[in-house]
Amino acid sequence: MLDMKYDGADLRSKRRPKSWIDRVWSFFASVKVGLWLIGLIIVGSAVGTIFPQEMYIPQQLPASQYYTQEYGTAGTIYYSLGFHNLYTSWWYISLIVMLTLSLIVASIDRLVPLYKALKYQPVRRTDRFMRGQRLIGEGNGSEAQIDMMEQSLKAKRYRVKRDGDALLAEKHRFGRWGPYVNHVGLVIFFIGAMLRVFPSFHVDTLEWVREGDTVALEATGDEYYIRNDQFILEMYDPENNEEDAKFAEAIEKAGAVPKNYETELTLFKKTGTNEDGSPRLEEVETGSTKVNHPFKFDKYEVYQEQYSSRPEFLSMSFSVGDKETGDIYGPFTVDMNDPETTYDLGEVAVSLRDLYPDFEVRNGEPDTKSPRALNPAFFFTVDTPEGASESNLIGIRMNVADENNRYAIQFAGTEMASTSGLRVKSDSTYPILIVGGTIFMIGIVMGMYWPHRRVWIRRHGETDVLVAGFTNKNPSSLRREVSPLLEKAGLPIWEDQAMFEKQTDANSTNERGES
Amino acid sequence: MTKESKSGDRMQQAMAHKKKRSFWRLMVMTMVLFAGAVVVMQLIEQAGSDGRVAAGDDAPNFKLVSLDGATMVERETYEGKGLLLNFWGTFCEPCKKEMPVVQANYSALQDMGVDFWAVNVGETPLRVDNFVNDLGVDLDYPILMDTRSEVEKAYGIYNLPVTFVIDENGKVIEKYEGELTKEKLMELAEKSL
Repeated sequence: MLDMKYDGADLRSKRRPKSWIDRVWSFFASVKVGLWLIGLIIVGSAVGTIFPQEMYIPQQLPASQYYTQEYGTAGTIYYSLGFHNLYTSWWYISLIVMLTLSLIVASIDRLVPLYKALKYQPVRRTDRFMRGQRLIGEGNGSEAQIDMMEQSLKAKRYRVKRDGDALLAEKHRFGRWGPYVNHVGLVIFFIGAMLRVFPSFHVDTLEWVREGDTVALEATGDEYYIRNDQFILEMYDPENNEEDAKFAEAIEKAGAVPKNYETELTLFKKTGTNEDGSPRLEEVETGSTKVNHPFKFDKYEVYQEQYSSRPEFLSMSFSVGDKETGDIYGPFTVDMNDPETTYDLGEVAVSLRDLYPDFEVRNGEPDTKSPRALNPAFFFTVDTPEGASESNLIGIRMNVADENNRYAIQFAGTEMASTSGLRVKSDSTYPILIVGGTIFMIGIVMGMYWPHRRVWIRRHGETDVLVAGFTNKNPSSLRREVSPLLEKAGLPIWEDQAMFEKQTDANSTNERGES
Repeated sequence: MTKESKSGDRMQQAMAHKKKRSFWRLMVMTMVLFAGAVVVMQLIEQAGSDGRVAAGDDAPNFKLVSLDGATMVERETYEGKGLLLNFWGTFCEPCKKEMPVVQANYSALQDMGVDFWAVNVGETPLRVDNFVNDLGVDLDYPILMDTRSEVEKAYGIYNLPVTFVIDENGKVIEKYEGELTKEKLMELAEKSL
């Protein structure tokens, strides 16, 4: 049987390469190379899932240290080969670029000769060609019968061409372009994927914003600022909420189950810089972001992604009690970020001598572990009306003071702030990816559901007629479609050669894979 | 026309055709590979800039007020030759240890035309003031208060202490993470010139 791939057309890359340009071209035109590239991309993608990607690791450690610390040598290798940022690693992108080139080159290399071969195909084919087809029949027949066949093929929506006593009927040729349309879609898709590397097309950053704080959004090039007005964490409450009571059993098993994470926020736009270097901000709008319901502005989306499980103290209030009279003075409030150092309460005055935002005792001295107000402690002195000064070290569940002190400082309240982790994203490549994906699907459908079918009929000798059929998919269906017509016209019925000869696959192992 | 010259014509045509084809092949491959190279270059550039200022980058500008509130400095208007920009916190032991060393050599640095700015990362003036007083050494070099942690964020600070060596054009020559010894301090100062 004849090799009908690309309609027997001569693939350019199969000719003996002469110059280096042709050699490179042939390399990329090879299906084997394309399959290797796809294989490598799949293996690379698979390896990239072994350890978490960089965006999912904790923020405290830089990635260069995290992978080694967490996963040892394997982690070091993983990091140094760029698997931690797989889709933007240079080698992964290089593979995608080569695959793109391979798709383009292989498509041109096949499409051009195939197109020409089909466009200029003769109606009258050689004896050898006809007998080389999978469906072939030979027997008695006349030109009148061929004319009759022409009509019935037309009724089956074949496009029929005649050349004297020879006939060519064809339908669904465009199905042959399916793979190439598919490749075009893929190439567009890859272009979209590669554009994601450029910040003007795709940005994605995580911003930690404490309640009350305003931060510049790096993703917007610091053009926009967001203030966290309130972070809301709602738990399922089966006891007080009828709706939630349905899940009481499950909640009991799982412990506290969050129902809603939400950040109420205000968006600002930077309009200039103030004298002291701080940004001049103009309020744009207020809104909120919940899980799966991002806050949208400009071309950006703000997703509620994380929150800090340890809220920070914004301020703490205290009052001063007179142990002798029972009088209470105050309360007064200490702002953790910008504390006053003296608090005049009338009878007594309190001085804040020191403030340890994250208290610990180091080398026998009070100290702080970090600048974050997670576990604050305060060193106060109370100036009594008698002119004495009494020291107090107050912290959470800690009150170090002289027993003989007349005044005692007590907690009166706290104001806490949660920190919300917001992911700010913008992706202008979605339309490109959607267009690419759609074209890809159209290509697949074209190639899948519209098999290219051709029927050749011609006189052979004085009394005989040759009938041959070709299809790139599902030959038995072509047979079922046309055999009754042949029967009706009284022409020889064709047979499927492949049913008798078990040799058809000999050619498919070579380089010309159907693509 | 003879048969031979006809086939010669056809040869010439085929050659011209082939040349044209080679040209287009080269064009297609070059364009795809060039676009790919641009993407890869962009990636490599981004890999270097993960939001953290490193050697070779331009030092981001900032304006900060000193601990005593008396002076305000701006990176861009700095007029000395070199600048050592140090980040520190009261909770960081090596920071505490390096401060007397810096103080002892500060006049030598100034003679070289190099200034030393110590930016505190997001603490209250109260705490920093107490810390500096407890240090037992008077510091002549400026302690700058980054109370809102904005400069810290702009420079992408992870570990403390860290010292950026900045030349007179505002370019970061080196980023040194770790405690400064006298030798290291002088070495960094030399580099900033």
